[in-house]
Amino acid sequence: MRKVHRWLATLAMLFLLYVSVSGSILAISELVRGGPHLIAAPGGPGGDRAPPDGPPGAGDGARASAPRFDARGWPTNEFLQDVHSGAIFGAGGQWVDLATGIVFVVLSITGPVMYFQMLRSRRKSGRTQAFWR
Amino acid sequence: MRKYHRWISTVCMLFLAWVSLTGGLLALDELNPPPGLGPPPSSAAPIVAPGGSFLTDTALRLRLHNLLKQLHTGSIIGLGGQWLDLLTGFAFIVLAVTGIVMYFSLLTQRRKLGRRRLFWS
Repeated sequence: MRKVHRWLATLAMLFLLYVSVSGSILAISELVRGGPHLIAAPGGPGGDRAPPDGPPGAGDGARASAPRFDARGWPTNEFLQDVHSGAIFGAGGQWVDLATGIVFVVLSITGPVMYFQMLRSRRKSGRTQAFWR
Repeated sequence: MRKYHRWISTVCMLFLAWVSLTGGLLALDELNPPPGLGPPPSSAAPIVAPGGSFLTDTALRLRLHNLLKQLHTGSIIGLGGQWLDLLTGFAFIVLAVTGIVMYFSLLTQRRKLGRRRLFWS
């Protein structure tokens, strides 16, 4: 378990850092500007971007063609979303982003499992601290 | 350093798991994007699953996409959720940095003792 946690974390550390930093910047931007930006679904609750014409699934590039910077030169939410999702690097970036997401999920499961295993074995030997070095 | 790593990950573990899971699902959703999200049609062909009626149900895909986004950003529970999401993002950054620093400091210590493996249990 610990080996899997360390292997994955070590291999993916730069991607994890990239997704964390870009996600936090996006979260700040959405807090400041209001968001997240939702797409209006036909017959559903309204969003702030009109649905495109054309075949479903094809996409009209609304996000891809949105301006990258606003009038003040700040990156737009759409651009930040593309940075965060890896879409600025194309489909390859999105696959890497998905792999990073899966690594995140595995780490967030193996981490707590390891913690509770260690906690239990420490408690059995009389050490009751919740945190240790 | 290890103490901070464990403290933060223990306190935030449910939020970390939540953001990871919804982010993974959102990434999966965007690989075959609903209309309005994808790259221009000329740049990349969408991934088409055989017999994927779900993938071509525009209204359902858009609703699912919006729901995933609201779950991932925390906005489904309002502004408080978005602040929690931001804090979780900071926790991720701190965990990534402390994890990297801890790994390299342990690696250096082990190398001094002649143990050269990159991974250990």
